Amino acid sequence: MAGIVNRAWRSCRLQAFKSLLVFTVLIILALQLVASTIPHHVDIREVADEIPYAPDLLFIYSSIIDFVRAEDYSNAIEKLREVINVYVPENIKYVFSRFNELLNSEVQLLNETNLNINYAYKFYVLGFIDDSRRCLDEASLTLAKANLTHNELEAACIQLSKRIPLRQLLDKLGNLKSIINSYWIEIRDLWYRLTYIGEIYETRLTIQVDKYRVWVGSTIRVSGYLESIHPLGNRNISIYIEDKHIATAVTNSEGYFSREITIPYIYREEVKLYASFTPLGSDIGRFKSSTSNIVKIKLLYTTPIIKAFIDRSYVKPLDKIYLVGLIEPRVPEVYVKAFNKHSTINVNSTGWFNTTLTVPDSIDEGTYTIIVGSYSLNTIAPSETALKLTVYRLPSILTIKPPLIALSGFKTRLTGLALGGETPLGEANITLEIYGQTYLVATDSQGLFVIDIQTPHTVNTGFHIVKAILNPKEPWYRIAIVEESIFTLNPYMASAPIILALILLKTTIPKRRWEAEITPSTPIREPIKEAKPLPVGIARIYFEAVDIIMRITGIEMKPYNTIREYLTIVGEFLDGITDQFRELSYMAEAYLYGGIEPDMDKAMNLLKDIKGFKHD
Amino acid sequence: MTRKIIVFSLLLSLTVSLLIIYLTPPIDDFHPENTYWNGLSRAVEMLNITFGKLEATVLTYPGSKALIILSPSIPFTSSEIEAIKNFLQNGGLLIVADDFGLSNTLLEGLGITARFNNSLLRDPLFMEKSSSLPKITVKELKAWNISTITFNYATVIDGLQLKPLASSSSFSYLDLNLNGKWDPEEPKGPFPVIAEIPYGSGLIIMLSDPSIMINSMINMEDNQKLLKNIINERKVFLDISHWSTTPYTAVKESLNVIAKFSLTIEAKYSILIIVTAFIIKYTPIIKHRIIDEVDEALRKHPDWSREILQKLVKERIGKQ
Repeated sequence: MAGIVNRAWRSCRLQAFKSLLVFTVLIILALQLVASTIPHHVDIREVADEIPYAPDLLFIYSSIIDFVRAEDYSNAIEKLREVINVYVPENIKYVFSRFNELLNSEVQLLNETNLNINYAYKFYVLGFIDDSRRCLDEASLTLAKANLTHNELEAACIQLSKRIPLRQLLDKLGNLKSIINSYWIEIRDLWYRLTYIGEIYETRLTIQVDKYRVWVGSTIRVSGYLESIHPLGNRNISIYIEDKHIATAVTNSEGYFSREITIPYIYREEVKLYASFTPLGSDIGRFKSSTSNIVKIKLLYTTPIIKAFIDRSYVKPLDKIYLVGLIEPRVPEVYVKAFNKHSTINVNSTGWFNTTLTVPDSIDEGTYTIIVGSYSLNTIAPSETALKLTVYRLPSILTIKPPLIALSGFKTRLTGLALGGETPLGEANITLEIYGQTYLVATDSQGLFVIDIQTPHTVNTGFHIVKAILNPKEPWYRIAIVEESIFTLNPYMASAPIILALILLKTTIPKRRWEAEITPSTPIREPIKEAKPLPVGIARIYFEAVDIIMRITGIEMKPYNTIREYLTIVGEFLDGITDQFRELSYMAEAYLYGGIEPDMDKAMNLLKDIKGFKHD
Repeated sequence: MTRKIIVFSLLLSLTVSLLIIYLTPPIDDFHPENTYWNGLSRAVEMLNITFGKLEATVLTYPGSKALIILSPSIPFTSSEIEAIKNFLQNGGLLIVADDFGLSNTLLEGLGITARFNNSLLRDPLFMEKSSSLPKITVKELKAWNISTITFNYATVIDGLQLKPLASSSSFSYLDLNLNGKWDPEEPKGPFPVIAEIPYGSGLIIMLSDPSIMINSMINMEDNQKLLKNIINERKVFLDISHWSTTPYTAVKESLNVIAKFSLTIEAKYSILIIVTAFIIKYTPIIKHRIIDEVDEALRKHPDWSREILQKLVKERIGKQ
């Protein structure tokens, strides 16, 4: 029987546990349900792998091959860097990476081949035959490597196409093979030229100028001489200033050349001038190139002196600043850069200029720079001068007077004053934040403001912070923020524990008090309590006496105790009033059980004796 | 018996559920205290972000502050727009990161023509696992040493009066019909995804994916570096007052309010009184008293019935 009960109890517990689990999960899941069309994001760990979109991937590879065909290797390499960033799932990453590595390797090798062929040709043109041969050797080697790589690349392409549908990629790779073949032809052609070339002669080029100190924009005459085993006539000579090509001269039949060149408007103390000869046409393979000596030319120009002044260096927002200045030598206009603005000012005939600047209203406090400058004009170089000024704001004072106490559910008035020094700030914006609410008011002409705050019913009792922000209308005053606290009393919430206590006192505590009266575990030593209504006559007198006896002895008269029983119990503890209480007990017993009328005067006297008894 | 078990289980599970909800972190998207993959707890820690309701006090000293508006789902009021306008004009930095939210209402209020497109950006080549997680190769931000950022369900930025700071690849497209593949009528990239717009003395940064800040994304590629560079030593405030909460978080917030309320003076005293009354009421003295009284009576009158005596005492107590 006990086993069946135990099994049933266990089954009940299991059922309860299951129900608990199901309900808990259902409640939590129900609360998490949110309807949405496009999610803001997904958990990246739960996202399924996608293979890259094949047509787009084919497009990238095709563009790489097209760039190689156009010998635009920088763009081809750039695209290769991009393609490395294409995402592929983990299972095809190896094949994809292998293909990219091989393609990258082939493009790099073809690029090196192309560069070496180009250098070889340039060296051949300039007459450096040994250098040209060395470059051609390099080109042959890299091209052979590129050819080997191409075979591996085709195999990798077949593997990759099995995983990502890139069927046309193999055909596209065929274009690279064509490029390899064309480079073979170029190398072979240049080898042939180098093999059958004769002796190449050195060339020498010298130059001189008629002036070594010149004004910018003026002209100078550059003369020179080009020779090899004999003077070289009718050859082009390029003239450079600071590595920039300026002019071309042609040598006469005796190898001399001379021409005027204009010095560009460069505002620098000194520039370098030189010339160079590069073999062209039939000179290629016969003469080497050469560069002349460098001639240093001092440049002359005027740097204007700008003197500028402002009428004050400490300003407030919206202040006007008067700027005046003099520029020598005079230019038609100067510019002023201040507070992120750029303006142009005309200069009068004597070189003076002036303008008025306004400090922006929203500018931060701090130090700012005003730049006054002039543009270049022929022989006049550009020039600049800087002026410093400090922007500041005047302090503003905000005072608020919150009430001593605020009651929730009621309106509370808060007053305040906004001052700028001693000046009232009128029409200033005051933002006040309290109890999660924001109030916006403006000050009157005296700088005063009043805000009636509606204290919410739900606010807790305690100190609450009130924060006020003063935003003056005049931008030259600072923003001021003050915080005060208001003691807020919520009468509803505060009364809750009191009401609760009263209810509980009414319902729970009386039972306990009664209980204490009928359960005497210890002798009663309490002061005499107010008499409760008693029966009339001898019974009233008797029970009054019993009350006194109970307090004296600490022995309670139980409901089932008869008068005599109680007398027996307490008799030995009464000392001096044993007789009085016995007689009173008999009188009460005679009245209660026998209906014999007692002598009330006697009974009263007995009670008086008992009351008068003092127990030690 | 079964009905009792169900009711008991329901009540108990409700209590357990509330306890679980109270003790576990919030699960809402972008919630700053959400420690799961979709929360902002890491960003809050890494970028030292403070968060709260958009109020006038948080917009003071704009020159040293950055305000983040993250995919709002509640439109901005005219007074809020005015406050943000003021913040920007005085040198504040506003970072608006959105994909499918209501930030355009704010941009419109600020008088800016740039808009979040609100269509899904996909990139079938430059991605992290899926085309809906596009990788953006940043060429414009070399000074910040940023090369790649990863988005998660992003959109793009439309408009002319802006300076793009990063763009999606030329293979990216807008998946207008959400079928997961490019259709000829769907626009193809590159699209601006990060842009800056000067506004007064301040600056607006538009980010077409708020998800780069979530816990699972902030450490991807250069996402964190991008945010740190944008913020650049400013104090960051995140507005959380323009998100609608899920029922789960609403319950959690209510429980937090209750827990907070239970610490008030009124609540403490009420709880104390209730507990005291409960102890007084249910302390098992009555039973002892009944036993004492009955035993005493039986000692004197062994022939009386214990049951009747107990019943009588109980009745008497009940009347009182």
